[in-house]
Amino acid sequence: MLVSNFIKMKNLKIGLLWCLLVFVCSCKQYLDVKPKGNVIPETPEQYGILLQNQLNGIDKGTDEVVIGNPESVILREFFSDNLDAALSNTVNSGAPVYVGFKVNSIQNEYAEAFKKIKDYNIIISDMKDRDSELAKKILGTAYAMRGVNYFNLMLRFCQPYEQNKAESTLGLPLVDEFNMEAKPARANLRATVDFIAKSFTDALSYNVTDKDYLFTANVVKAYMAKTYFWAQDWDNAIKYADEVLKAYPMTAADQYVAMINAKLMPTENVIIRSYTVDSRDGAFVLTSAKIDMLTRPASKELVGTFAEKGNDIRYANVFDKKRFNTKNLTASVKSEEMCLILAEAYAHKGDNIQALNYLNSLRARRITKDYVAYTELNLPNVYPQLITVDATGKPLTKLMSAILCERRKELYMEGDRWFELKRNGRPEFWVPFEGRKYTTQKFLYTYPIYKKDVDLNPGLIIQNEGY
Amino acid sequence: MKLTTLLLFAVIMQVSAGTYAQKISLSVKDAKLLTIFDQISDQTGYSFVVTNSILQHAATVSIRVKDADLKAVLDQIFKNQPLEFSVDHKTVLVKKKEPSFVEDLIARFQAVDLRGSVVDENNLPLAGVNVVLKPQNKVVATTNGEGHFNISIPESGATLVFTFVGMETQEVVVKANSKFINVKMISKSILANDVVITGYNKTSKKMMAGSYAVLDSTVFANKPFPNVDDLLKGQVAGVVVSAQSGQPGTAQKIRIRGTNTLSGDAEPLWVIDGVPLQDNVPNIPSSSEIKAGSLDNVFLTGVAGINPNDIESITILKDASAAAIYGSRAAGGVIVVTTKRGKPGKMRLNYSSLFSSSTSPQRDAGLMNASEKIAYEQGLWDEFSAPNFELSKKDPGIKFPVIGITGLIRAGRGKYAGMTAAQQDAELAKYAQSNENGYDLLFRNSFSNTQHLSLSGGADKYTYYTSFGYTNNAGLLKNNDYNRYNFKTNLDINPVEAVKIKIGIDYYSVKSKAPALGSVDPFKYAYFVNPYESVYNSDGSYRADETYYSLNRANDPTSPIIRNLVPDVGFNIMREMNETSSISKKNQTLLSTGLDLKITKQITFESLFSYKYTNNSVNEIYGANTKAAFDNRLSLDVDTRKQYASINQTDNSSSEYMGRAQFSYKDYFGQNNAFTAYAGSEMRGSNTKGFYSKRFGYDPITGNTNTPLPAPTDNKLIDYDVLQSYLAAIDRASGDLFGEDKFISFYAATEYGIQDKYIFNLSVRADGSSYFGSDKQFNPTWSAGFGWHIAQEHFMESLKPTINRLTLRLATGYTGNISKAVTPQLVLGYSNDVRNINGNTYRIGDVLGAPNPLLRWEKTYDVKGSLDFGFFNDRITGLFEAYYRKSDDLVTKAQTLSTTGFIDQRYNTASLENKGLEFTLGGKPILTKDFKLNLSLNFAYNLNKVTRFNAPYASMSLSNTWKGYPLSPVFSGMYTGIDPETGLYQYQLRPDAVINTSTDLNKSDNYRYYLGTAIAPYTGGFNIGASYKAFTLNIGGAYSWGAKSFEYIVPPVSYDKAKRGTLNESPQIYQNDLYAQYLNVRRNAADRWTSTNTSGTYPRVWDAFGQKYDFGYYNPMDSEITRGAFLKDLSYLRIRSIILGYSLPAKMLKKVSLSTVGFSLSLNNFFTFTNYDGMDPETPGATYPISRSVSFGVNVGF
Repeated sequence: MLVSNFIKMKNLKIGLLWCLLVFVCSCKQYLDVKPKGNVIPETPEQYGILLQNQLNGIDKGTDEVVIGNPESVILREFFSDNLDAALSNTVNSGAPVYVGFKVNSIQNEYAEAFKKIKDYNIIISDMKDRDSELAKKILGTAYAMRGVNYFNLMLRFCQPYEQNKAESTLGLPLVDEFNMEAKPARANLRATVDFIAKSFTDALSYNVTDKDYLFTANVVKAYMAKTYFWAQDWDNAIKYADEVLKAYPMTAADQYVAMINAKLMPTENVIIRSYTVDSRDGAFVLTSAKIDMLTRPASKELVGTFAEKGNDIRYANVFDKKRFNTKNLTASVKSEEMCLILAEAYAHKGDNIQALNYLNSLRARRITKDYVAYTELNLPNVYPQLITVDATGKPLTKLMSAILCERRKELYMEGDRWFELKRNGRPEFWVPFEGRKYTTQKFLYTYPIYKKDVDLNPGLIIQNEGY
Repeated sequence: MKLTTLLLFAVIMQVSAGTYAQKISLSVKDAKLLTIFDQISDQTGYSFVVTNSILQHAATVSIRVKDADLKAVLDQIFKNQPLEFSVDHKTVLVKKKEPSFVEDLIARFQAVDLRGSVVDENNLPLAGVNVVLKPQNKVVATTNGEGHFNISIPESGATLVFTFVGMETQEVVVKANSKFINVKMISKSILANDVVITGYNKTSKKMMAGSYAVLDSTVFANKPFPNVDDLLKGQVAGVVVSAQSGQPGTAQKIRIRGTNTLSGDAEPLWVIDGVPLQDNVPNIPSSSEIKAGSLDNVFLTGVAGINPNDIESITILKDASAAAIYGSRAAGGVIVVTTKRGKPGKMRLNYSSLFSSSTSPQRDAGLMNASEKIAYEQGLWDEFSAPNFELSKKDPGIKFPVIGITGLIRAGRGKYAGMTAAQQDAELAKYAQSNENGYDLLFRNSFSNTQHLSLSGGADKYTYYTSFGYTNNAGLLKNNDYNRYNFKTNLDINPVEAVKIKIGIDYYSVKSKAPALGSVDPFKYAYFVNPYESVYNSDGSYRADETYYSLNRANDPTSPIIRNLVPDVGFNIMREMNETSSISKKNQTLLSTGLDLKITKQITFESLFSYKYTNNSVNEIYGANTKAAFDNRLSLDVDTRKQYASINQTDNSSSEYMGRAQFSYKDYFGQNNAFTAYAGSEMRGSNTKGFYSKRFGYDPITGNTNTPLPAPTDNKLIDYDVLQSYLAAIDRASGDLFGEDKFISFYAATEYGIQDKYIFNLSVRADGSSYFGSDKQFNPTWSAGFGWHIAQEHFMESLKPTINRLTLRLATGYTGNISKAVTPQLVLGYSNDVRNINGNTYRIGDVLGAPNPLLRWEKTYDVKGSLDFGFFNDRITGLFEAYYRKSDDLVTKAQTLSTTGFIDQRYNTASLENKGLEFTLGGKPILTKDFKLNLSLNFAYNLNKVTRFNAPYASMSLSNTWKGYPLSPVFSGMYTGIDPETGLYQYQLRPDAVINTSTDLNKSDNYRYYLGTAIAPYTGGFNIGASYKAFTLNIGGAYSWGAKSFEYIVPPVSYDKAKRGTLNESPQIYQNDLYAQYLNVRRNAADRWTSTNTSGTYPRVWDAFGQKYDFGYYNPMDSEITRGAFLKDLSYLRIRSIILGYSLPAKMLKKVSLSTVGFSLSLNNFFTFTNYDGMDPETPGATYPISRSVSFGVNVGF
């Protein structure tokens, strides 16, 4: 009786051996565990979480890199000549007296941007599905955002574009796939522009229209206009700026105050904007940027550009009597910038009529009383300011001066002026602080490349001049 | 006992109740009665009722019958037995034969009375030797504790056989008229001696070429330390066990032959009865609502659940040769625990009980008392505050520092406003009298007890061991309590010769209770609390601490409040202690079953399956008025003064399984040759699930929560945005936890011994884990070893009386380790948050870390040589070992180009090596019948060195691993004393320092020295055991030499927390900081440097916002250098326990039918020899210190 039980056990033994054999064969399957909460991405939805995470940061106003946030905007205003550093009541890390104070931290924007670019490249190079509706949205957005990030990097870490030197000027390392082993050196500036343009063209091929993805086709076109404008490809700049301007009408004078104070809901002239969903972090960023903002008044020179004074709706609404800013701090791209791009691009092309047309169409929406349209005859004299040459190095004409002044007024406190100085001749200027002179030298307009990258592979990544 | 046997038999016999015949056919030779009963029962359906004990005296039977009657068969079987039987219905009742008077008389006449004594090779009495009378093959006696036996044998000329496990069987012919015989037992072939259990295999010491140590139950039974890891301290050379905290139940850090990994787990693998422990505690995501680390890991991992009283032996596998069979998890060594199992024989019942009383730590922190601190504060007031205070009376804009209660009173802050100087003095005098010692407040003398009851026994076919254990360990800290309940059963069933079944049931429950103090570290509080802060008001209510959190308010009263630190009722440590609680519970059930089938004489199939279910839970309750509750409010409420209770709960359970099947071959052949081999595979997996939840507005009476709502606007509406963020916060406060992992392994090993002289070991293993990508999933490891028993050689024959044992062992091999900090694939992790836009919801997530497709296992290559010797019949024994271990492919962070999207990545980049020597000496200088003395001493030296490492950040503050230096190196300034000119600490300039300008004098690089290592390179322990008759004395201790550490107990207050204004002169170290004196300081602060006391032993104190001295220009100010002044040597020698035992004499016990009664008294951690001046060199700093205790134990055996 008992013995027979053990005979059965011998069967069990054979069974165990079988089990063992099966285990050996299906080892890989057995070991293939996917922990919940973590995923090795396969579907577009899974890849999409990377984008949604970034878009969420833009919605909530915490993103500093792609569109920017109030803090990154105010920081560039501090670097520029829009504010009067000599009248600072406090100088701290949030309110540096000049760009040189931030040399150590602005280089981080380089690594931060590539951290974002990695996400797009993971999607672009790894995502298998390329045809479903969702996949197309994700791919289109990834290409668009990669272009935007590269555009931002170019503005910060490359010297301004000069047509005849574009191929001998250092650009950026061009990374178009996710690869931990890749060691790309810096391309030239023309290749960099082409790379950005290619990203945008690829993005447009997916024609993203879903507003949840923020970087819709029109947003891409706005950035294309900005890119070509920076690269002095006036025709292309005109082409895309015109398309976008038609889609996003500029704000009329009676809507201006509402527009500059819009808290979360962007007005219809806004092409893309950060901080559209309330969040604690976003509110915190805005509050601290505002505290910094109130440490420094607008410069007299800026105030002087408002030739129409009180007749200009902006004059009464962007700063108070002590010249402290009253405009809401937002990071955005607006149709007014497209209009200014059109005006300046036509001016560079020599088409002064069209240039004046666009210039006046903006002015007409800002000057509420005694408005006189500019003609070639009544253009004011060249405004005495830091910028003395235009983007191509020519001395400022009356028309160009008027366009640049208009741009300075319209985009005041939007972080634009710093790049305007860079684009137009990189003028050197100094500010006094605690008895010392702090000079924004020419080389400081181009931020230093992330130092650890330069040190890691000697000779591979070439540091910008002056650092 | 009888009941158990009957029950078991009833079960076995029940099986045979079926159809039956009346006639019986049997053909057996020298069969045991049970076997015959079994067969008869099978054929007839008759049941036999019999007790095991009477069968012990039955002889074997040879019988050959065909179709015989039951009665006839039984008569024949019982013919020569000391037994008789009766048949009742279908039951055969077997009992002992009562001898008739005549028979008895005849027996007495014929019998020869014989006494004898049995000794071993050392002439030591050998207890438990079976004396068998040959013709009947019957055990007639067993030797007692003194090795004596006493028998009556029927006639002279009989042959007696003496058998004992591990000894050669001896046959003695009893000569006529001999009344006393002496028998000496000789050990079996040395290859079969001294069993070592490695978890996969049962081998012998002589067959192993690896490094191992075996500790038997005497190390663990009835010891005043409730946890196994604690008991290992100082026992084995090269096994360094160090306490992380004196809190009861905390896991100890164990390093076997150094640390072999930089980012992986360096703890050894614990294997309990063949089942590896694999704790899998999921991490709780930290969010703005849940603070990271609220799950108390301390009690959830480790071996806290094992009751040391249940341990039969522990084998520690130290080198690759011994541990390679455990493959990838063996890099940290393996600790194999074997629990007790039953032995055949009558039931043994053992009860032991131990009571301990702990007292405060033996050393004192040397802090000021109330009057000293007030006098000290007065001195600071006079120097730094008084002048500006006078000026501020006229100009309220002038600020001045306020230090301690003296400052508050003198400055007239709060309720002290408007006091006259005399009133102030009176108030201060009052404070000077209230002497509260922080340690007395928080610590207590605690009582702990341990109870353990075990039952064991068995018969031929089964043995059992069952135990119940209870441990209560009350902590030194008030309200800190640790409880453990154990239940364990081991059952071995041996139904037929070829089959062995092992069943184990192991349950334990651990509960730990402590206050949930959150941001308040009670030990830091005890250290820094001002001694004049009494805890209770005169009416017994909690008195708010006036100084602990008031630095900023006192010094910067006009600045807007950024965030309140304490609730409106104020902070009181006893309220925190009494009204918060954290209860951690762990329940674990482990079921294991093993089946061994002997297929042929040599080949066995062995299997083991275990299933473990574990539940961990943590309940943290923060009472409504506590600071802990204040710190644990909803994130939306942190800027308000709202106060409400909250509860934080975590519960997770995991199930784990392990299955193993192997074939083993074991053979002894020829002249002392042995060959064993085994091969098998193993799979393990675990699955963890759980949840965490934090609820606000908790009511501990009802268990309900009344979640506080955000404040409505005037028209009783709540803003949609507020509502949204409020809901988001509630959502973040709870969530799920999960985790799963799986492993598969294949292994094989062989041991070959030739002529007792040469041994060869070889083992291979491949481990696959779910953790790696498909390419690198398997990690093959191997080891090889050679041993030479030199003493067995012919040329050693003449030295044999002196050198009885001399063995040389050489071994090499690989072990592995996994670094879980990186994955080869790109893994995305979902965030706890979601994106809500335009009415749509999207999941969001991020890349978890830079993937590394080239990731490999970390490998440790190991080579060692050892010499094992015994002199004068092992009266002196010793083991000398030297090893070199090289760990390669260690995963560390390597910097990457930021264009990859990551600034660093984990790579298999680094290497480190461990070199060491181990020495173990044992001696039995006195070995007489009444007096025995045992001495043992072990010593280990281990130093590791990082041989390849690219620091991702070239900064001392970010990384402390440097090529060419050991792990945990200590780099700092070499302190040379206090500069009488400035009162600053001075440091030795490096001889290679180049000083061109005065500011070169402040560069850290010019001062940095390598000052040693934080890990003690020299460690060891010793044990002295003495026994005189019934008394035993055991003294055990451990020592550690050469570890250095900074005792940098940074105060919770500092100038930057005072936030007074413009910083003029930052302090060199915290002692310089005037604001650091706001709370209590050590006594030597009274001797601070001043311009009139330039020989002070405490450095200069200054106000960081006061006068500017520009010390920073020509003095090192970086804490990396300046903390060199706090470097302490942590060398110590500690007598861990002195245990005095006494056993009642056997004669006395006979009357009360007890087999053993013993008492013990022990003094634990009473003596520590060290130059360290803090509380405890083993757990330095302001942490939970190790306490002293006295224990009294009773041990009773039935």
